[in-house]
Order: sequence, then C-alpha cells, then structure tokens
Amino acid sequence: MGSPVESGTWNGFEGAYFVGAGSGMVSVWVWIALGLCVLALVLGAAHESSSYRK
Amino acid sequence: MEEEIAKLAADVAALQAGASGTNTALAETYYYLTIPLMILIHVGFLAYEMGASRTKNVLASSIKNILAFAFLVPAFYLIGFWVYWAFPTGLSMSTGPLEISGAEYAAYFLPWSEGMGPNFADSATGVFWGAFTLFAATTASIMSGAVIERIKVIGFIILAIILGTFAWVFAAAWGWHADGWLVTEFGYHDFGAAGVVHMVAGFFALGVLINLGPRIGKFTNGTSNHIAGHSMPLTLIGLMLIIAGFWGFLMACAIFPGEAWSWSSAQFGTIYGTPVTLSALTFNILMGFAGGIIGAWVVTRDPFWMMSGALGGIISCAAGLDLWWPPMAFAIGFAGACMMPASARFFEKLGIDDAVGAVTVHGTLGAWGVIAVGLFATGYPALFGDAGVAVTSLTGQLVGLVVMFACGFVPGYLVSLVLKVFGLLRVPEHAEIDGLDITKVPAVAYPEGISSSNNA
Repeated sequence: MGSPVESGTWNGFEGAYFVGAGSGMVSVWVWIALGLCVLALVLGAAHESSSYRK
Repeated sequence: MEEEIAKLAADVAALQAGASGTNTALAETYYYLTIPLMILIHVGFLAYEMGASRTKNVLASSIKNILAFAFLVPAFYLIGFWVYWAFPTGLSMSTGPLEISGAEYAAYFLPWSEGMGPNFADSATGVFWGAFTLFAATTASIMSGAVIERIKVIGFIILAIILGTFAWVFAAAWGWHADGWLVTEFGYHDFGAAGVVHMVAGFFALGVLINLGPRIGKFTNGTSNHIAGHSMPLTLIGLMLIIAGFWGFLMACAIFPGEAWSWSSAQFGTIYGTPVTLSALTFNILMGFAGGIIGAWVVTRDPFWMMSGALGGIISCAAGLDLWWPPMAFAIGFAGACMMPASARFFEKLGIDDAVGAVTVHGTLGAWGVIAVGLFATGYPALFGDAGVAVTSLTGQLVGLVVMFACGFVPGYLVSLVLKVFGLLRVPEHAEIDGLDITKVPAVAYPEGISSSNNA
C-alpha cells in the first residue's frame, strides 16, 4: 500500500507516517470502515428480527 | 562579568541535572507502571480459565495459572533475560551491528551481574526485566487456557518454563530486537508482538494439544461436543481484563525517550528504534479492538467469541500498531475476527480440543497480524539510522511467519511428547472424570451447595 517514507531512512522524516498517508487510500479505508459498521448493523437487525419471529 | 557567567553556567548545569533526573525518574516509572497493568492480563486469564472450566476443575485451573506466573519470574531472571540479549544474531552469540547483543554484551544480564540487582548506577534494567518477565508470563498464560481440565500441573509448569524462557525469547531475540537477524536481514516488523508472543504461544499450545489429546467426552462417534465452562460471565470479565492489561503490554513495547539507552531524545521509539507515539497506539488499539468485537458479532452472535474478537482484533493489528491508519486497524481487526470461527472449526476437525480457542485467537490471528504488515505496510525502513537498512516487505514478514511458527510449534510438540513418554503430561482418567479439584485441591471453589465432584 506504500510507505510515505521514501528516502529509505527515518532521519529527518516529519509529519504523518501511517500507511497510505497523503494518498487516496486514506479515504478508501474510511469508507471501508464505515461500510463494515453499516453492514454489521444491517446484518444485526436481520438476525434480531429473525430471532424474535422464532 | 566572569562571576555572572560562572553563576549562569552553574545554574544551567543544575537545571540540566534536574531535567535529566526527572526524565530518568519518569522513564523508570513508565516501565514500572506497565507491570501492574500487565498483571491484569494474568488476572484476566485466571478469571477466563476458571470460568471456562467445569465446576469440578475450577481451582485446579487456577493453580495452574498462578504457578505458571510464579515459576516464570525466577526462570526469566536466571536465564530468559540473558537469552534475549545473547542470541539476536542467531545461535553464535556474536555481536550484532548495533553492538547491543552477543555473549559479551549479555554478560551484564547474567544472574550474578551487578546490573541484575539494586544499583544506583542503573535504574532501567530492573523495570525492563520486569516488563519482559510479564511478556514471558503472558506466553505461558496463552498456552494455559488451551490445556485446561486434563493436564498434569508439573508437566504444565515444565512446558510454561520452556515456552516463557526459551521458545518465545529466541523468537523475540531474532525478530523483536534491533540486532535481531530477522530485522537486520529481512526487515521483519512486529511492533506489538503478534508473531513473537502470540503466534509462538498459540502454536506452542497446538504442539502440546496434539500430544495431550482431547478432554474425555469432547469427541464421540466422530462428532465434536461443546463442553461448556461453568461461568460464562466470569470468562467474559476475564477477557475484558486481559484487554485492559494489553494496554500495559503495548505500552511496554515503546521505548521511552531522553535516556542514554533511548533511541531519541524527544520521541518514543519502537523496539527497532523507528518512531512511534502513544497517540498512534491509542488510535489503533481502540480501532482494532472495536473492529474485532463487531466482526465477531457479525459472524457468531456469541459473547464469548465477541470478547475473544476484541482480543483477536488487537492481535490482528499488533504487528503494525505503529503504522496503521486507524480505519485500516478497524478493518484488519474486523477481518481477523471473521476468520476465528473457520479457524476454530479447522482445528476441531483435526481432533484438537482447544478449550478456549487459544490456537485460533493467538496463533491464527497472530499470523494474520504478521502477514497484514507484509500486505499493507511495505517499504518502511525497519530500523532507525541512515538509508540502506532493510525495509519492511511481504517476503520478510513471510520469513518471520515461518520462524515464529517453528519457534512455537516445534518445542511445544517435542517437549510435550517427552513429557507424555514419561507420564508427566496427562492426568489419570479417573481423576479427569471425578474432577481435578476433589482429587488434589485442599479447598473448594463453591462451598455452599455446588459440588466440586462430578459424582456428587
């Protein structure tokens, strides 16, 4: 996914250093995390409704 | 004028000495405080394993946990800490590139060294040793849950000592030390010990379980039966306590700044000298924790696996806790938790009776954590210093993965096989059926109406 540390050393590196920093992947992972939460809620609601029907 | 300059210089020197003393005291206190936090891990394992045991085995399970912790303290004092500093470059005990390893350097950590006791000139070694001892005890506790209700206590203690004093320590020397050959040659990165602690302990447990065999009644006529523990609430509280203790564990993985032994004068470093902040850890531990719970909820709906998922989520993120973007940590923890049921079923189909899912949570998810760094966090300098050091890569993580598996599984299998041959591994069948508490424990867990005997 790429490292923002391109010089091969941490010497002199400053600022954000997390995976994908400064790239479009940052927002991709935000949407993935959000999507997983929504998916969990949808599946949870379906499971709960199904359980009450039994 | 000269007098004023001299006074100013004296004032500056006094200020520097004061600041230095404060920093040293802070550094010492920092590691000192990780120890009671990590003891919460053992409180948690104690509660977790007692809850996962049937009423007839509650206290026998507790004795095992308490003794593993106690024996690991002198074992790690007498030899484990020395092993960590002596063997980073391999088995030759030669000095590594940073000259903080090898036989000569490690002599300071021998039990007869003046550094291994109260010493005004050294306020760091004791608290480092304490933190490492708690790491070692954690490995034993990981193995402990898998083998409850049928292992002999002496066999278990021998296995705990082998795991906590040698197996994980070699893995740590090689992959969790700035002179470790996995780091210097392959760029292996494992900030929070997903491989060196969790994988090693999880697969050590697998090796033991193969020789130990399942509990009576676990498998009948080719089908697997669920053996419920006597208190799920106790187990859940135990799991949450382990997670509280993990904050101390991961806190102890960071190197405090500003000391002679520090990597930096101003910033926390990883054990490899690469930068880290406590904020980075906070973001990613909490996000991995949450991802693990939610993922496990989706795939199991079972509170036991949800809390195991919390632990598994953190373990999934552990190797790259210093590098993840927090939403990534969430997704990695979520994915790890989703793997748990399939992993547990896989081992069960092989006839492995892992009473608490330790092989899955620590072994499988530890492996996932190591691989995740290779998949998503490649290209980072693996060590501090000038350009040219090894960088993180999928190849390096895969090499580390194989080494971590071998460091756990091979000694676990071989030592437990020897114990089995000598009759030191498994309790007699009648004791297992009657219950271990009534057989050998001079106390009762629940005196008011709940029997410790299977026959009562």
